[in-house]
Amino acid sequence: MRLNYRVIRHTISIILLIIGIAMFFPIVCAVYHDETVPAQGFFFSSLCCVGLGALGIRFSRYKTTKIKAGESYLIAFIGWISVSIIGTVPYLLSGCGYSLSDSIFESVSGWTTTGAWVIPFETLPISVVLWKSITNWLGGMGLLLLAISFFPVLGAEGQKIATAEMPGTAFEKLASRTSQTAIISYVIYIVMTALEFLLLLPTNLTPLEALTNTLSTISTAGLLNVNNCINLHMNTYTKLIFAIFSIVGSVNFVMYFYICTGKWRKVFRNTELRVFLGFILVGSIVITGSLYFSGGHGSLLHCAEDAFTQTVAYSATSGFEVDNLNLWPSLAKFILMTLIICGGCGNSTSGSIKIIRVVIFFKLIRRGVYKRIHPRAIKPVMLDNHPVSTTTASNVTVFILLYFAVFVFASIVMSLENQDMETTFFTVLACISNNGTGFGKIIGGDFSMFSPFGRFFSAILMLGGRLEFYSIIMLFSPSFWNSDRVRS
Amino acid sequence: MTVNYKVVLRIMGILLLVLGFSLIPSLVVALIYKEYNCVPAFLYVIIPCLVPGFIIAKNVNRSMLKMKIRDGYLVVAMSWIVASFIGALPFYFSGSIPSLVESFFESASGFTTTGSTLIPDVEALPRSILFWRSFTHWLGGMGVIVLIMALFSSLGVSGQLIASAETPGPTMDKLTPKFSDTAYNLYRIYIVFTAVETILLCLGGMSLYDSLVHSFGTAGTGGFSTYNNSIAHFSSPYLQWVIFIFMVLCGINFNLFFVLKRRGLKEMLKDNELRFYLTLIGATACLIYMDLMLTDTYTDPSACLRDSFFQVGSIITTTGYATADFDIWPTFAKMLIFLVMLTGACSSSTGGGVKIIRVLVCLKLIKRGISLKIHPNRVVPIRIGEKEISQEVATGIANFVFLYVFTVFLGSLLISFNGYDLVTTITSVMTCLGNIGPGFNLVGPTCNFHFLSGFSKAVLSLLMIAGRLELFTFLMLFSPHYWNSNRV
Repeated sequence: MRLNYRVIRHTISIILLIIGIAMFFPIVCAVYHDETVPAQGFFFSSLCCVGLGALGIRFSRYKTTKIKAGESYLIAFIGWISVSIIGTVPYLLSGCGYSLSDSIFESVSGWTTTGAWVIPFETLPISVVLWKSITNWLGGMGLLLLAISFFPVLGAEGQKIATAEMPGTAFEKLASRTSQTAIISYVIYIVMTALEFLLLLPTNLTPLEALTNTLSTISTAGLLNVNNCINLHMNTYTKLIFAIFSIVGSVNFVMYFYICTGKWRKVFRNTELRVFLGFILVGSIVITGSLYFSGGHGSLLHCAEDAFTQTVAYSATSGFEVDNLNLWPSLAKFILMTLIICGGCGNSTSGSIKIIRVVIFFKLIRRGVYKRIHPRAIKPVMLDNHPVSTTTASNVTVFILLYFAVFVFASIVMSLENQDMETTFFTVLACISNNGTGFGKIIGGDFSMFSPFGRFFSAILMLGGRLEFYSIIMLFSPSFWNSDRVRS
Repeated sequence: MTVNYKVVLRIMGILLLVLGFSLIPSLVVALIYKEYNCVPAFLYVIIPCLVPGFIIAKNVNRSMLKMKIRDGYLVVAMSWIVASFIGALPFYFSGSIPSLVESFFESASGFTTTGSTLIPDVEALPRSILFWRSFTHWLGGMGVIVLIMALFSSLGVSGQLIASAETPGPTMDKLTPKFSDTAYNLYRIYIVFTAVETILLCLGGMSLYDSLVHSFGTAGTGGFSTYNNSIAHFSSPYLQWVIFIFMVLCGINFNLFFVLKRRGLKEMLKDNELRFYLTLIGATACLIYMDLMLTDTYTDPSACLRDSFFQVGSIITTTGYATADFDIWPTFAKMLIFLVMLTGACSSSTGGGVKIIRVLVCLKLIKRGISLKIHPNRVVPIRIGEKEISQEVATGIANFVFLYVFTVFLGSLLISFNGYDLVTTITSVMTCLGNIGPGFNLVGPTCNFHFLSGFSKAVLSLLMIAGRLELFTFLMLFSPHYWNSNRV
């Protein structure tokens, strides 16, 4: 298959430019905190990125070419791989002697908004921490989306790329031009980020901590500087802000657009949103009850607060902990596990199977039972008063099967690390759902116990989870590379 | 149109007769071993079964009744519940199992050929009781054959639909013209296997009693043993290999044995499901062997090979016999065991689980889904061997897998109230739903289910029955559409 070099070159150039500009902030931070080596590292990489990016854009011809369906996945994949590799550079140049596999892990964990770590935060230079949170923020909404919004030259083809990158069943257009849709999404994103930052300023977090945590919570990555479930800076107000803005980040962004344009009814009637909020509500209540009745967790209010924050953290695939979850009762842990698997809403920054697919999953089961009783009945699956097309139902089915197949296969590979079964399962789940944490030894997002192979494999799983697997699996399919080949 | 209760009543009557007569061998065993305190326990059950059974069978005239699909579902579900209940009574009356819920669990475990036990010390129980316990396995296996041949085919449950539609060549569509002939033939295979295995085991040095008991367990792929450490009690390699071979044989699609008889081995080996099944056993066993030898868990290669194959064969056919405690194996080996727990045996066999053919179809669905992402306009049918699977059947299979996953989640949620760790909770549900027997951690091969609460035991018993009946048959009864067909 002939790769569409023009589009790939163009896309990567844009990405380089954006990253180069984004690196500006850590430079300022490094200079402010007297971290000379990281500052030099950032400056150097920033210069290279901006330079190469600008050159690439300058010399690419402004001609739209058609992208075939499969190619968009390749572009998304290449885009994310390059982004991950470039993101590694600051870690390597920070002068702290981080190994390549560690840097790759941290970079991928940042961009895919997973939030897992192998290098403890206390030892990271502050500018690198800021860089990590910036990668979270950009990766949450999608770097390609940003690329598309700035360069409408990609035109209608941009939608295909966006669909390949954006998680969910379909990329909904908010405006007639894809580039405008992308811009609108980003504007909403920036507004929400600013709001959260302002709300966090009055707490006892330093402004820098507030900024890094804002960037990482709105992108549902996790929390930084507050790891290993230490409750140091966390009072009720802070926890609530984190929780609320994690929800904000994991709601379908189209909903915000509807709110802005006054279509309130559409928002209230949206099944996915209602189910998502319903899961959080029910989950919180059940976990509160479980914590309270198992004793030792304090007052009912304290249980409720922790239950709510934790439910939101896992449901939005943020992945932060407010307590030592390994000690929580089994029922609570099981519900949290189910919530990780369900994930957030489509078209948002969260990961995993996505609520809309879970809803369709249940409706398909119900229809299956009904059809056994009345085999000749014609009963379509309805969602928000629209019938779900066969293609969508089929895609959802395949995706869920693929998710479980990847889970089983990855668990087998991961088990070579010889951790106990619970840890292995949750490691895989944490990666493919981009949650970043789980039960067992990886609690708090600590992946440092794994060998370089384990870390590398986890990084691949994280990418797979973010890109919803197809991009990666397609590379292994012979019919992708040679479309003339007929295979059954 | 509602359920025809007379038909149901008549079949219940016949069931009572069958149960009453099948208790007689156990009574004979009690007399042989001079366990006179068990004799009344059996008599108290035999007589109340035979008498009403005769009365019902005589009075409800067969010629007036036609059975419909709707009745079939109720009959099937009720048979298993009634059989489990009546089968529990000898345990309860003889005092071997003090509580009624536990007796029901053990009996259900017998009839559904699961093999999970909650008896702490098996060797302390009277022989006649243990004989009845294993005989329920044999009856359960026979019951499965009736299910396969009689009801599943007319109910259109995936298992039989697959066997008739998907097995290779025109020879499979109709083995013999009359249903009763086909059933008779399948019973013949079943009895022959049991008899041959008993003889081979006797020749290997097992007592007649032990040979019979373990052959019952193998033929029905159940897994109850008369010893606390299961087959590990017998150190003879010959015996272990014999049991292994028969376990694998009983996990094969019984219809294929006719292909073997009529058309020879080559034709039989063309079956895709059989190939996948055997390859999976071979591959996983070899990988486990390598892992165990490389990690020095075993030092003796032949014992290692034997144990690897035995454990894999036992779990994949959902028998549940054990020659080694795989819970202490390295994680990689445990993961592979987990994998075969998920797949289960071939369809139309006495084994349980999701069934190999469904796993095959799902894998092909995934492959097709990926192919369609690359080339959305392609038309790709799903093929097993040379036969094509219709969209209806494929959807039905995907539906089944979804329902299975959902049932595992629901069951685990209920069991998690007990407060045990997640691996125990989830594998206990998986092992009961798949009719396997052992799980991991606290329900591992050297443990038993005694520690769970009464509620959990009841839930697990129902799960066993639901799993045996391939879910839909059982869950149908909870749908209001079933009881009132006029309801939309």
